Amino acid sequence: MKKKSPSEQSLSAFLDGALSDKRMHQIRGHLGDCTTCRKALEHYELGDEMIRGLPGIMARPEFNRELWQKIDQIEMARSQSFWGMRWLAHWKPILAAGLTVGIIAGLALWQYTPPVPSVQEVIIAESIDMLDDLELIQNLELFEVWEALQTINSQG
Amino acid sequence: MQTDPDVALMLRFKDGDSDAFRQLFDRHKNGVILFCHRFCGDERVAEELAQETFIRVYRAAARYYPKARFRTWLFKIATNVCLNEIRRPGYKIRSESLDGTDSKKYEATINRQSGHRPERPDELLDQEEQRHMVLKAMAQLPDDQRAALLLRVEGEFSYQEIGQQMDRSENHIKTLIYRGRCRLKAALAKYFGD
Repeated sequence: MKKKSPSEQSLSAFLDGALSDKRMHQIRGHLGDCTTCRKALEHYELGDEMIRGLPGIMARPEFNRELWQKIDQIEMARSQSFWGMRWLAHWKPILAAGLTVGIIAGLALWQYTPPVPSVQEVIIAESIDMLDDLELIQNLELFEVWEALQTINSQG
Repeated sequence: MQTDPDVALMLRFKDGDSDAFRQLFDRHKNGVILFCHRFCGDERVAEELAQETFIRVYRAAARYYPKARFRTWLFKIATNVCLNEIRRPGYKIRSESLDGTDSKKYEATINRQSGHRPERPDELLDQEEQRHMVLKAMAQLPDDQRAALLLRVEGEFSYQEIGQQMDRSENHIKTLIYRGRCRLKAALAKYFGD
């Protein structure tokens, strides 16, 4: 008696040997009796053969050279990056010291507040300002006297 | 895995032996170019994709850890490179070029390169037409079906390996390959003789 046909997906997997031994054996047995399944399997095989039968291609002679050029560029970039890291490593202590000094100076400036002057200091400062004004007034008076003398002198 | 000579070569390359990389390249160059060519249908693009594949292998050497056969890993990279390329905006080769005069030029290039010399004009026409149809049918397959089918038919990888390469389950791969074969069968029905 003819057994139930396997699914087409099972036939495809059978072609690739991707089923369990038991299932492979069952399908192999079924194919002996069933022309429909045999035909379906042949079509899958033929399709695969058509793909395999497509002519191969040969790489252009420049293919290898182009690849090695690209790899050289990668190596060059890696090397530059390596030297960049070396330079950084060489100057790292100095850069670290400079950065530390900068941070300390910045903090010190930020923390600094000018001292509040005492009352006596304010009085002295105001007195100095008044003294400056007095000197200015005296100078102006001298200048006026000097101008008056000049006028008398020119009239005389 | 450790018995795979390619894995040993890759580990040597990881340790700084650049000659090991050259050996790997020489061994697998043609296979990768062919896969990329079957996938995208354009000779120059295929070469660029193959170069990109080997460059990725080169870059990945430092973090290489053998989890599968080297060839499985290599074609996983090639598959990703190809899928990325065709998903890139502006990618225009595929079936458009195979519909027009470009396909004739493409096939003529293939014939020239493979040294193919048909004996009779009618044979030339038949073969060219059949190849054209196969290429066109392949180009019209959804990307993942084409990738899975090529990895199986051209690469001869197992479903498990293809699953690793495409980050899918074995059952999904089984379905992709089956659907790819069905589409191919429908597109090439007139060559199947019934």
